[in-house]
Amino acid sequence: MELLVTPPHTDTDDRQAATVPSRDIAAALESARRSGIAPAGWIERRERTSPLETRYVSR
Amino acid sequence: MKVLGLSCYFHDAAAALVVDGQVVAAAEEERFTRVKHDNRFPGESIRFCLEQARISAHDLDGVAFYEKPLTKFHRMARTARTYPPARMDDFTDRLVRLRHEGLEIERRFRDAFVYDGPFWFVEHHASHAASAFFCSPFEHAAVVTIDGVGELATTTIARGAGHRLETLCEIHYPHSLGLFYGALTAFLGFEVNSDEYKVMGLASYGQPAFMNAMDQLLVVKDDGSFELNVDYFAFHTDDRVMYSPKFRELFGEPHPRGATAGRREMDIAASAQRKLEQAVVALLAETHRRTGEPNLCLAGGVALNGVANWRGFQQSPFTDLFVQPAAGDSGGAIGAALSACHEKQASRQVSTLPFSPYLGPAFEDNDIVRALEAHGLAYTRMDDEALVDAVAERVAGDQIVGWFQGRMEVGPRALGGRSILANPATAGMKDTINACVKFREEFRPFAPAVLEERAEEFFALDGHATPYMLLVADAKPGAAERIPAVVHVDNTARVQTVSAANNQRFHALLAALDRITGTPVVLNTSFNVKGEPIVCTPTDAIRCFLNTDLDVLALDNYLVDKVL
Repeated sequence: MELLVTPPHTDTDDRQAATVPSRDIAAALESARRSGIAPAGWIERRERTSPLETRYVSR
Repeated sequence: MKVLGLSCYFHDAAAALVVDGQVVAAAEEERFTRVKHDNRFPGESIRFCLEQARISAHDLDGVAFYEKPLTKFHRMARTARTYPPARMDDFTDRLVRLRHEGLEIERRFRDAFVYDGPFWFVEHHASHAASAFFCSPFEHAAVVTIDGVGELATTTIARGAGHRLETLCEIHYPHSLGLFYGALTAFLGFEVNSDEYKVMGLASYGQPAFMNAMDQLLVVKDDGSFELNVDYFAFHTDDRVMYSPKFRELFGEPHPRGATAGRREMDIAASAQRKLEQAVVALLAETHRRTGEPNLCLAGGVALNGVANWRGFQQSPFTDLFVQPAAGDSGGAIGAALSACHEKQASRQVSTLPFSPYLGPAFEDNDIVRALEAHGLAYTRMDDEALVDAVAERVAGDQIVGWFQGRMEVGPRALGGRSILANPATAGMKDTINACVKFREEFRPFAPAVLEERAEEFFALDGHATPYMLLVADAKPGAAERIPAVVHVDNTARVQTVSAANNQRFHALLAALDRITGTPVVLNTSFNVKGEPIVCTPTDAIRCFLNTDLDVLALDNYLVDKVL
């Protein structure tokens, strides 16, 4: 099972600000730097839904 | 509760409006802009949805986008780290585009429509899943989504019950059935994210002679998952190329775009189709094992492959099936809105009526008359019954009819709202329409629309309805002789079953045709010419009528015969 590294949920703080905060972009890039490509096979969902308010998948 | 759903910036931008859990309007942007597969911000579709409900953006309780753009950004960055981009300029351009488009969709909408309410983001595959489950007649069901890629997932298994929809497991990029089929689509000289159905049509002419090669590209596992051998592909490193030099070592030189397909292309298409079906069969078996549900819902671009849908369903233990008619990305707008609506409302009313795909614009009589007179066309206004009888007589007499009735369909298939109709009993009709009306490749088949209550007389559907033309079934013995223009070379047909509940006027037309010819079937193809979106307005329809060899135009209750 893949351990997915996701950016922190900072953009919920800025829900009313329509523009994505730069720190979220930076966090996504940093997270990407630390994580590899997905392996083949089923990835079980620990959280089966994701909050509507965030721009990224939360696990 | 009023929720607007949006999909855009990849392909097939669209908007949809959901009111109290029911889809009241939905349309692709391409229909308004006349740019095929238009992926830009769907301003025209949004305006249509709001006007249809006679509301402004201020009246919305929320707006839902069909994916999580920051996760997509993350996936692109991490892919680049593992597989360095072949063209760094293309890659940075794509990141910059995503930064200024997907990540800024909220600001773009707020500025364009002066909106200050909630703005939500639904996962791409959750949007697809919601578009299928919440439009289905099922209280509970297993839901499978399959496409190229969303944020991370390319395939998901979910379970829906009441107003809840939960993703159980998923397969991540780059392992993708959509991208597998897309690479073969590109190799065969067709357009990716557009022409996959042409590969499906071509496959019927071939033999699966390349299965050893397909087994090297894609390994289907016992647990229903699959693995793509990325050495054969290039989509993960290069925006412009789907497959690698190693892929060309397997299959030879790619088929040039526009060239006539030969034996090799037919056999590659047949092999790709067979491999996809193997994967879908395994996936649906695993889905049933995990969920134990009797009902199955399908969505995602791969669910537009009616052959794989039917074969997978037939070989599974599922007893009932619903496929979202807008299974591709445009349906993501519908699903995003439904997903948000059901989460916030925490309730769901399952409709007793079949889901209607007729969610686009309709036009008033004065709009139609104005368009006809602007083009100097003589017309006759008829009541409903007379119009249906007149069109049936013309179809029976081998005339080709442009059929423009009521609200436009959402999704890629014409379902009797914006259709070209012809006599399926005339053997040469397929070639006539391909050459003189649609201007498209001769190998491509045409589909039948049939009275739902008479479908089993012609097609082996095991009693299942297929109202959205998303199942390809075998023709029954004798059908190919009765309706040769709509039975494909391999004795199959992409069937649309028509009920009065789904489309009363189209049903009446088929009944009238049955009275005249004894056959309640009509050849039904989309009202457009090759390369253009399906017509939307009366003016679009008139232009298509005048620029092709269509004989008759039925614009709601107005009938026009072409005068030569």
